[in-house]
Amino acid sequence: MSARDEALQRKRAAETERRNRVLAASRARRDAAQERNRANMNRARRARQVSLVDLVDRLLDGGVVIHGDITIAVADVDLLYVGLRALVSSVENMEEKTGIKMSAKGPALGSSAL
Amino acid sequence: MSVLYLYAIADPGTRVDVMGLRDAAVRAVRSGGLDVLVSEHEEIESKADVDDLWAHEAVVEAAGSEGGAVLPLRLGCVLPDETAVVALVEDRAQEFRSALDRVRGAVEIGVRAAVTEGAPLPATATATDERPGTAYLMTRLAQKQRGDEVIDLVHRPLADLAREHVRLDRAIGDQSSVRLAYLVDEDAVEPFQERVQDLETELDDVRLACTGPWPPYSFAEGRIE
Repeated sequence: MSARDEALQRKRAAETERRNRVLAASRARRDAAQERNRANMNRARRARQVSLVDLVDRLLDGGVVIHGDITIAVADVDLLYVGLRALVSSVENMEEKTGIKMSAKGPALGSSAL
Repeated sequence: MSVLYLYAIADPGTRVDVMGLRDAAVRAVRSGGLDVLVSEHEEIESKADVDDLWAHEAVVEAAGSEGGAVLPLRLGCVLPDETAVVALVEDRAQEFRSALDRVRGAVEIGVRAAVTEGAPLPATATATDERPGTAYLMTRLAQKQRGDEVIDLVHRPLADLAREHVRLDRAIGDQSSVRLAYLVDEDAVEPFQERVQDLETELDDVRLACTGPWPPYSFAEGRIE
């Protein structure tokens, strides 16, 4: 192998190595971004669960009450409450473990000025 | 026979640009100088699910984003027709008007406070190895006392930033958390939320969760004197 070929080979090897470094760095960035996305999604989901609990509290216990002729059956709503009870304690446990603060409202309501 | 589902009572001229329950159009019924936001349904199933909750909430929030005052109705209010809606407002016009004045320019913020189990306990509560039952009761007592202190420590500074407050008694889930609702001026919402964050930093053994701003559900009826 001539000196020129060797030089060429070294140059190629160096280029390959540089390319690999760039690729690895971009993969690391992508992984980090995905990790952040996952964390954000989890946070949003937990925030929404906390909001849902607060929403149920308000919609079923607050607000103006009228005595209409027909109302949506409360029995079903009570079932919803029972389902949420388990959810709330699990959310509160999560909150304790992660230390993430829940102070967001549901994403569905993001555009409101309220 | 169709029925009307009711969302909120609002200042006249309140427009809502979102769909209501089960994608029904929302319209206003004017009565006694107030608007009642309703949607018409051929029949309404008695089963409410989570989508119905968010749909109700979305209409109330959209109405509130118009700048006028809004009184949210409790989930599930249905009347047979516009005549019944008009009659409802005529019967209670004075009550609704003063309720609207009460919440005008303000929103509701919910705060949930709980003492973490690792709360520091006074020495008297831990030093009785020989009588575990007594030690347990002492521990519980200390935790309860700390809980009462915490309510005071959290609630007092927040109440200063709010127009009104109410403690919500129907607790679901973890009974150890205290739920409070504050009626806060719109321009005081940010300082209020910052105060909640500061309090959480200051109090090591307290978890605080803050949600909202919400429409004033907890201040729509039955003023606490």
